[in-house]
Amino acid sequence: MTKQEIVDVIKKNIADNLDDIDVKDIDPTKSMKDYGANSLDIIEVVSCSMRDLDIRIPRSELADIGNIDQLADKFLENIGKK
Amino acid sequence: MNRVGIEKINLYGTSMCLDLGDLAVARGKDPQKVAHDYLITTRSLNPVWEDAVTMGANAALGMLTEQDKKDIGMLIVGTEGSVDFGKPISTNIHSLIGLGPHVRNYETKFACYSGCAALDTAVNWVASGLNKGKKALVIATDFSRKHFNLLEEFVMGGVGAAYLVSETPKILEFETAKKGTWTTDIYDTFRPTAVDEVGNNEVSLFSYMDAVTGSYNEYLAQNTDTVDFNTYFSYFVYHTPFPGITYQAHRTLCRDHAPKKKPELQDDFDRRVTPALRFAKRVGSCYGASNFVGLASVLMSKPDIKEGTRIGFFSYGSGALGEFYSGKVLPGAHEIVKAQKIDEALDARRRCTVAEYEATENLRETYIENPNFVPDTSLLGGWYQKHYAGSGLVVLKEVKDFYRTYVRA
Repeated sequence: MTKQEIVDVIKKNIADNLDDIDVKDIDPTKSMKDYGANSLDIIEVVSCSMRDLDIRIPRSELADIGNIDQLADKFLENIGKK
Repeated sequence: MNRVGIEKINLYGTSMCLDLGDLAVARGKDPQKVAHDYLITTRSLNPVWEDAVTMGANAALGMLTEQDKKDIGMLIVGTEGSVDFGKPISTNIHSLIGLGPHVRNYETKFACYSGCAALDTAVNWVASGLNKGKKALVIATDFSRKHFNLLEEFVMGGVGAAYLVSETPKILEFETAKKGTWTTDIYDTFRPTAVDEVGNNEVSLFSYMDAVTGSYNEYLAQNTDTVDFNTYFSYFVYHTPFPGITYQAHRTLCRDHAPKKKPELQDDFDRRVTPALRFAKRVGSCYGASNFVGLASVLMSKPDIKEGTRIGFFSYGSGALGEFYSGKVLPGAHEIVKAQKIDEALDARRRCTVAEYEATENLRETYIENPNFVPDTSLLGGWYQKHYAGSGLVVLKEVKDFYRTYVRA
């Protein structure tokens, strides 16, 4: 799986969970908070993305990640690990 | 093994409150958004003559008869707001409620899991038969520290809660063989000094979801039943650092075990989770008393609740540990909880202004680690005289050379 595919999964889950946001308008260099996400929205996006990507890592390790691109990097490191 | 469960329950939601709408306005936030996100309407607020000891004692005194006191053989108090690092507050509470000299007592600590740690020990003691017919009094009592102008300020609160645990339960019987625990070593929220309550809320929210997933999966592994998430549990009592988090907790378990579209999820949440939020919405953060508050809420909210109704509980303590366990409702449970008049007591709290709340918290802070002080009972428009004097409620009278004196008002 490529990083771009991971970014696309995250973007899809952001669009699914936040109101009035289109996938094509999401900039990966930004934080989800820039799009109005609160802490619980972010947890949901992270959880759904991990499920879609079949990744299991402690969510607590993801809490301080700054932007969507960095979240994708963290997911990429853990693809295939169980 | 003995049967074991809860014979009595009571909550003490302090004597004052702060309206979260008033706080939102004072802090320049949208009151409706605050109410929607956190699902809190008011938070409990202690006057300076109350603390974790008084709340715990007042919760217990509100439900115990003289016979109950004779029947108690163990007292365990869970708290993250103790007033001493060595002497457990169970000793203060033991004497204040008048228990006998042979009642073993101690304090448990594990952030918001402290109440369930206390409960677990009591349940095991009664189930084992080593109780020799005696009952256990389990108390969870906690109160927030000062968080002016921080995001966390909207998820503060306090409450004391008490369970009488026995082999003749009348409210809920625990399914002792069904329990799942999950733990990890992290710093999410913690209290490194007598003043600070610090940490990273994002990490705590994320860890909470790891814990609900991990403990529920272990609950399934320890359970010989085939569990259909949609039908096995009639209600869920999720830990409530703030009631709004329970939606995410339920969504997390649903995603793994019974996927639902948003409208279905909302319906399921309204039906099986919202009844557990009745009192948490009024006291705010429940800390270690959270599951106690949730159980009382379900039983109060459902007058027609049937014998055998299964309730799933999730307890979470920062640090961190999550536990999922279950119990079944016993006949007459609603009436027993209703008789405690918890709603009426919360209705009778004094609604403080934001200025009064700030003055109270600022004064309380000057008392912490102060070897000598007498709580000022002249404040708040004579609230002590109106509500406490002659009531029998336990209050802190004075601290002299660090010795704390509690009395019945």
